[in-house]
Amino acid sequence: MNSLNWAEIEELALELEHSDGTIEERLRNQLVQYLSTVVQTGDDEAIIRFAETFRFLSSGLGEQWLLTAFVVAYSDAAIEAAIRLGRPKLAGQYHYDLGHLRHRQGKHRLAIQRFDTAFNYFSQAGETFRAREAYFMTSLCYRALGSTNKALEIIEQVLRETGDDPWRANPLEVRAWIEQARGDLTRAEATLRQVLDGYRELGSSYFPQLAQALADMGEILSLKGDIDGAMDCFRESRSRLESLSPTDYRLLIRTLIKQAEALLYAGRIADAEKTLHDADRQLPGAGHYDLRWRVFFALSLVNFRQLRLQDAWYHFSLTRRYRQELGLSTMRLLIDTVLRLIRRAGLPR
Amino acid sequence: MDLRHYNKQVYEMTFKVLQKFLKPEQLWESPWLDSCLVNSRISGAYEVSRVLILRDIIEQALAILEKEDAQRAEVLRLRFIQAFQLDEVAINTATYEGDLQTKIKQIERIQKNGVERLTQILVENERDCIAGLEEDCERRVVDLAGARPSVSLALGGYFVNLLEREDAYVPIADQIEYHVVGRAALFPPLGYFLHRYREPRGPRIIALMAAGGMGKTTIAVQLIKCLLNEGDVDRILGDSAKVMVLDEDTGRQHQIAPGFVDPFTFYSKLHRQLDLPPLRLSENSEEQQIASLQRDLKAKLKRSRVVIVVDNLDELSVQDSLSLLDTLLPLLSRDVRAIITTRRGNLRHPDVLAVMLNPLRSVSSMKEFLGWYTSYYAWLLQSEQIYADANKEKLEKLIKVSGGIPLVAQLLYNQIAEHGWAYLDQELPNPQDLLTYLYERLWTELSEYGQVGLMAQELALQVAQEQQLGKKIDFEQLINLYPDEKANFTESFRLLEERFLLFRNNETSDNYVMFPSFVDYLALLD
Repeated sequence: MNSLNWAEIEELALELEHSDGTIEERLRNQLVQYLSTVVQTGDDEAIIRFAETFRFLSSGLGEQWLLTAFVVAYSDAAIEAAIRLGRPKLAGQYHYDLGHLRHRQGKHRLAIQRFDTAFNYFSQAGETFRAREAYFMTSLCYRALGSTNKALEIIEQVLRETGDDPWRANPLEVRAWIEQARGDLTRAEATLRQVLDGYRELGSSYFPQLAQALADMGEILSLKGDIDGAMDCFRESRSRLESLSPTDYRLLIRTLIKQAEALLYAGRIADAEKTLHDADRQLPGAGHYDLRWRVFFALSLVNFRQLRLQDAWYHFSLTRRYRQELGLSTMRLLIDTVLRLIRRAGLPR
Repeated sequence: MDLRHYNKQVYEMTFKVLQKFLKPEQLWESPWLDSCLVNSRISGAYEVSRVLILRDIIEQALAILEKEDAQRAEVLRLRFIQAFQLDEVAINTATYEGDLQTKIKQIERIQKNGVERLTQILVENERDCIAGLEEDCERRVVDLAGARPSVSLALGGYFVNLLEREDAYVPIADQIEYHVVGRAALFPPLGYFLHRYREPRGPRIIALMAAGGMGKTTIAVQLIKCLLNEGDVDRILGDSAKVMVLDEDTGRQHQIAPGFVDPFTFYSKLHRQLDLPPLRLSENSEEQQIASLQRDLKAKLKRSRVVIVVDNLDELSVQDSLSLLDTLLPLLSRDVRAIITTRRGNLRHPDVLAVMLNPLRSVSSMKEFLGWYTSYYAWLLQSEQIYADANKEKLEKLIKVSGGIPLVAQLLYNQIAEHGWAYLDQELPNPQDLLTYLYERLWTELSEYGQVGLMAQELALQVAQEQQLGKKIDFEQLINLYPDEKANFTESFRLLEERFLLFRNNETSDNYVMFPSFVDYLALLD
């Protein structure tokens, strides 16, 4: 393609948007070729227009459809163009999107870099709320990397700045996770109840977050021994997630992992194993290493309980390999597991 | 009711039950086999050939049980023999008296009673099981919106598209040739493949071998549909080695990186499809790399029910094909099987169920095929009268001209539907070249329609391109390609549709497709 044909590009985007995700290698190459042609024109407005056309892929579809490299490439091109055009808000937006992408992939250090940069650009543009969102997101990354004090420090600051806005359910939820990790299940449950109220108040656009928080509540209830209450939460979480279109597989898998853990605690080992195998099977696309290691780590524990030591070792070795790819330490995982089991705080995240 | 028909119904129902129960884990849990054994003495029908199927079924089930639990199988076998002996006594004392006519009547009565009793057992005692059986699994489309996670995204779009087609297949028994084990010859071909697939020690590979246009990919797809729809597999992995696609601007063929080119790229692809963490392979030889990939794959596939598709194996060199087969077998198990399609080779191996697809050589086969085709495309083809006129002589001629290749016969039949059976009287190329000849002729014919014809050609190239990319295209999308030429578009579209170069996926769908061979033909256009 020597010249830009926007009708073709937009049609392709529209088609992708309505695709069921069966995308062939050739189509991937075609997308990259279009991007390369757009970049070669040196027309910054055109580059941004192109990136905006495909921005729907940034919300997770890109990874599901094995288009991550394309998403990163057009986002970076748009960032450079936005900077040249003096549009910091837009540059911040693409950094923010890429921060989420890296966070979803479990590449938390890369995610922090993106969120920090997004924070700077949003601040420069006077976008206080967006800057706060980016700053808040770093707390999730620090927590995932095991720096819970740093994460808590960020959350408290964000909560102070947020006031009574129902959006505070987001940082509160992370605080509940940290409280749970520290073994304070009563406080974590109370915080989560506020979170659930907050998400319900925020309405339908927060359905996925509500489903996520329900899974969290299920986990806490199961740790407190209320298995029936826990299962109710998991059921509601799953039914909410399954009603979404397109299905948010990441959240669905997250709920399944927590449900499997609850089944494990309740002694329903075979059900736990089945749930985890379902989770592995249902996760589409490639590169979801952060979720896969969680699935396989839980499976290794399930197999250990079943005294299937060879399977337990295999699943643990897979966990180790996925974590290695993500730059996460195995020793850290083992220490966290022991600490959390002592505190009855569930498995590490 | 005609007794043969009655028996056929029972046979079909029994066969469906058998399909379920040949899974040993279900045999254990079910009272069905016991029930059959206890009640088998009712069946004087053992002495009547058609109902021998019951005994075969029990024998096969016992053979499977024997491998799983010899002791339990032995107990069941003794009960079976005992029941059968009682039956023989009943037959000997009650049946063989009187004149020939009486004997026949008595046998028929016993047969009918036996069949009725068997039906009763199946329907009353196992109502739940029968109700749970899915009918016509190969005809139901696979809903990829729901099943997408189980169908690898990397699997070729062409294959995935076929999974979503409905009922585009007719099994014609004498077209499909395979070595039959036991009395399972009575099963229809697809049922036989499923039956063998479900045998714990059945063939690990089902290899569909035939020249182009014989329908091997179609049969592979039907089998996969059944496996998915019946819950026999959780995942489909694999890819096609096809190497040809269209250039979107010129409509010309050019090479692309196929799904795999050798064993190493094939296993790497499976590795990616399973989202396994990468292996550090760079310092090893290729053989060591393959061995590492295989170890990783084997461990991951344990406890999974997977079918691995190797489509168009013939695109690989002979050496690579053999190497891939050698290395694939150790990966396979009771729950992990492979389906291979290839135009070349004759895979004879104890672990391979080799299925050859032959040309349609008999008049009855061709008639059956055309009957299906006529009714399946009745909404488009309107060839009922042509079909009614298809006498032995005409069908023999069609077989001769088409070489019995179903796809060629199909295209010729389209022409016959338009021009009458006299179409076959003209001089036509030999069957090997006929497909290209027919496409060439239809393509050239389009040029004769001026602007509208050229537009039809452009439209065909467009659809071919979409199809190669594994994308669906509906009428609205097609018409939107030509927003300023809607009047001409309708005419161009009609030209393609009339020639069967473009047709709806099925009667209810709005998606348009082409024969893959036509897509290939367009790709070869210079």
